Amino acid sequence: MISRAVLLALLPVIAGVSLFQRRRLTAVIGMGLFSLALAATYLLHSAPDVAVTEAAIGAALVTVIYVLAIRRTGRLLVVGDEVPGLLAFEGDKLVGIEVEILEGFARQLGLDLSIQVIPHAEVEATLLRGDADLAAGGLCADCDGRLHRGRTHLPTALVRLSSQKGSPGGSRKEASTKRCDYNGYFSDLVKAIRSNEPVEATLDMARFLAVSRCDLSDWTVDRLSDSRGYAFVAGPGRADIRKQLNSYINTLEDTGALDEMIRRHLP
Amino acid sequence: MKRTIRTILALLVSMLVCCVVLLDLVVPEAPPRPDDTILLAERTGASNLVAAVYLGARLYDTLFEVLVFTVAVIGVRFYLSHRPSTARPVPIPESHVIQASAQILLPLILVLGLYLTFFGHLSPGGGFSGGVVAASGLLLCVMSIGLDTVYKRLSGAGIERLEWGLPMMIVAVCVLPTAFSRPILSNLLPIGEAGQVFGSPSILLLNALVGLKVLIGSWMVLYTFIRHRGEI
Repeated sequence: MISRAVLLALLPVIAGVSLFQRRRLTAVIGMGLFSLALAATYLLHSAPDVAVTEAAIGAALVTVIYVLAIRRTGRLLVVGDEVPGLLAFEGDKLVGIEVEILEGFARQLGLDLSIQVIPHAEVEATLLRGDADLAAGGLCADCDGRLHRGRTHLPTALVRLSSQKGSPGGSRKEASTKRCDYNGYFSDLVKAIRSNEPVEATLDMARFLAVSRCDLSDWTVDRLSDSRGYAFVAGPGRADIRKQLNSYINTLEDTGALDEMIRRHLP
Repeated sequence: MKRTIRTILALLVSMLVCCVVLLDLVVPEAPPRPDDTILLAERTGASNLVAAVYLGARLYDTLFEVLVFTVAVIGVRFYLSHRPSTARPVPIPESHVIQASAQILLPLILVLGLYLTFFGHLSPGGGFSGGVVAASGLLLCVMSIGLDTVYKRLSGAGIERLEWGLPMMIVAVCVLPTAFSRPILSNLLPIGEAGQVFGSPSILLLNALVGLKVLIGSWMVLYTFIRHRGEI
């Protein structure tokens, strides 16, 4: 008798709690829990047939179908390479300004944030394939016309780094250095520079500052003249997400949270 | 802040509802079994009265339930077939822990599904719930060995034809008694001893057909979902 009353009382509580969840996965799990409690209620009210069906369909199958349905839509998939201070591993956790912005943004949308670190050169292709929603990781150059570049959240500049001493950046090179370019992952590039392998790369300010901790006395460093800014890039047909992200960054800027983040991560 | 207020509000509303429910709670005792139900159990040979009702006295209703389920499966396949399907094999996403535990759980789940289906006329269960339980077992199988392997093992397209055929077979079981000059929707097979597995063979047969139908239907829904979205 008491267990029946407790279960009956629990039902609206579970329903209410799962109704007000922002995260979709939590809401779906709450719904499954509701079905399970309902099945137990049926069982205690001498309806075992209905209880078995409710448990099998409500708690198992419907929950799984919902999870399948939200698996892609309930997730904000971001790709990018590491940038110290903006998006970088600390232990096995990603930290930085861009990570914080994205975390807040995903929380606002009620999505689960998933950041995948991929080589810088593959970021644009991944976005164009539609395998990710957003690109991050110190993107400071103009992108393909089909992609949507968001507003700048941090100013930067490009630096040309070359291991051959005294070779000035000629006009031919100048043309190819309109953007950040290096092969593979940034962490590999740092290793290569440390071991004095011949490297030529164009880096943005944050990456260059991290590299400059190595001994660069034998290297040629050209600061390219035009100033640029970091921004997020949304995939083709995702102008909506760019608009939302821009307004989120605007709010951060207005409340001073963005400056505070920058002070914290880039001292 | 806004979220906290809303959560507190939701909790308050839920508590209010609970109080009303608790104040008003008069749980009825299980009603005494009227004589009609005993008659029904004797007439169908099923000791689970729920099965005796929905596969005996009210078989007509069950036919339309099967129809509703079939229409739902057709709907899912129709609307998802307009979406591009992925040609590449669907990757297996789960960790080794889930893969290993799926191997252990799968036989148990399938046995439970079979038990629910074949003992539906004796104990709680029946074709609908048994079929769904077995389908969730198949889903677990998909998580552990991959969608394409499971699809191949279930002999691919043949299973789709079976899915169309099963409603026809259920209708045939309902209509066939007329061939033996008995009323439509009555027992096709002779009744055995009540309380035994073969005590009511018609209900057993119908439960098996409905269970298979629900299993294949749920599998088709899951398969179409995963195939056209390219991931599980």
